[in-house]
Amino acid sequence: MKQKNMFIAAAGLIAAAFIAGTVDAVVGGDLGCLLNIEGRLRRRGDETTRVLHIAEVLAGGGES
Amino acid sequence: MSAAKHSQAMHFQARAGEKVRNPALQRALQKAKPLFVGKRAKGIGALADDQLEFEQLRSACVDIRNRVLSDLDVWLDIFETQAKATGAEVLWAKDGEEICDLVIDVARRHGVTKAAKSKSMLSEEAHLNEALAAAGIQPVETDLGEYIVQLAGETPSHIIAPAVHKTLDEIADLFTKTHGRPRQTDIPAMTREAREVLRQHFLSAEMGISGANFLIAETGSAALVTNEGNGRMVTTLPKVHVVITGIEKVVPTLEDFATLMRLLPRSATGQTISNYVSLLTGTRQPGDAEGPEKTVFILVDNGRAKLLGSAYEEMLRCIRCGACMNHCPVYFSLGGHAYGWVYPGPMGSVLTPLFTGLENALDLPHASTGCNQCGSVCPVKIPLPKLMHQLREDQVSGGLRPWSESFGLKAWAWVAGKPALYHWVVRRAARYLKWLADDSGRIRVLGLAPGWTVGRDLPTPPGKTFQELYAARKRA
Repeated sequence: MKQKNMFIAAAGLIAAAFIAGTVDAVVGGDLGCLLNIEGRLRRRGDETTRVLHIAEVLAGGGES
Repeated sequence: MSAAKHSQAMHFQARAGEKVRNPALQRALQKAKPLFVGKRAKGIGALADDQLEFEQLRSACVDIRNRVLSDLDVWLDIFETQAKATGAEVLWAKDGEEICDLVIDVARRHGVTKAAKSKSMLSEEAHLNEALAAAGIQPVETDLGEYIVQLAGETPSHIIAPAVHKTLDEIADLFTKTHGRPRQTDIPAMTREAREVLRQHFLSAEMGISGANFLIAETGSAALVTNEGNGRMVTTLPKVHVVITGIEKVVPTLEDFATLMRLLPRSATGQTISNYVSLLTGTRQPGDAEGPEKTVFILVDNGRAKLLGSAYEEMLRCIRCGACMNHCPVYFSLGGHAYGWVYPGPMGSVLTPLFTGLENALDLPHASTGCNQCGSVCPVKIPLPKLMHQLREDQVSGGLRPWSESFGLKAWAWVAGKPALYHWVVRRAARYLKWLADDSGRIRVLGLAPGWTVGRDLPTPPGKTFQELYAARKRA
């Protein structure tokens, strides 16, 4: 709550880099970051870029 | 604390919200960021051409700055003796008000009606321009960025690029309005126009006011690192030259200065060396072609001395290059004005609470994504994220955090210490969040924390906890 603007801004910058459709998926190791990045991507209208934790990729190839 | 009265740092959140929704500002920032980052990368990369290593130079710079800070009083003593020997006057100011009083006193003694200024962030700390104007002395900023900011009635939003928040169109409008000439948007032509206006001020000002990037103890000189040439005009044309700088800016020798100069311009603008590097030593002597008749140094504490020997001493190594803000995702999302006081970006997030009071800048130590880009580019290895973290700890130990925060953390710790209860709560939460989701499978408004969903959706959890899913999979 306290830092909502900063989180949104930072996640927005990262999301902006992906929204151009340059990548298929974002893979990360920090759940908080992934939560922010996916949340911002979807709010900006990106429905296709997948956001995955590294464990998902290792366990199931991220296909689920 | 006197510095706090002008600070808007308590309104960081409100200002941040305003800044992210300002399209002109966002355009200006998006344009500037790659330039700053690219130029520095090139400048640091070019060190290899001179067979120099960035990490070795950094360590050398850290050593110089630490050596000064461990005996600051001694080096200041030496500087004072040497500066006086060159004919300069050395004055000491404990805060912004004293700076203003001293400058106005010097001005009155010499019948000054106009002061031409080169960039000085310390004069921003002191709100010197307002004080001079109130005393009937006209202050004229002559650094192009500072000049623009002064015309706009604003404050600098960056320590080396004061007008980085302004677009070309805004500046063209400003020039048309104040200069009363036809509107131009050609940058070289606009620069020429500003130069013509400023030239008259250089010639008529009786006093020049500058900062100093460093003070050289062994020679009693002020070192000035500039690109526009206005610094030279300000420090040599008017009959009185006043240097205002922080007590921590002293370095022992010219050789130390040369070492620091390997990294300062490269870190700031990517230049191997700035267009002008001036070493200003004393007053005009018989036979000298230029120079002031009177040189006055005003050496300022304003919160610095109390950092010596504290957990924040490393911050005093800062050489004001701006690399930390140039690489900061928070700075480039908001611009410098959101920070509410003189210094923006990571260095500002540390300095503002230290100089104006922890309780007057509660949000700033939190204005970080923890990415540590600032720490990794800092030429004097100031661990900025660590210092911000320490400030947060000080907020907690000083009872400055809201009760809801400490209550929430205590409640969480209590629940987390009871595994059965914890799993029960998490199972309920997972089901509740799934139930909240709309048809698209996302939560657009989170009732318990509506702020979270102002600018983003909350991806929906699957309704079951990891342990439930794991157990189900094992059974299958």
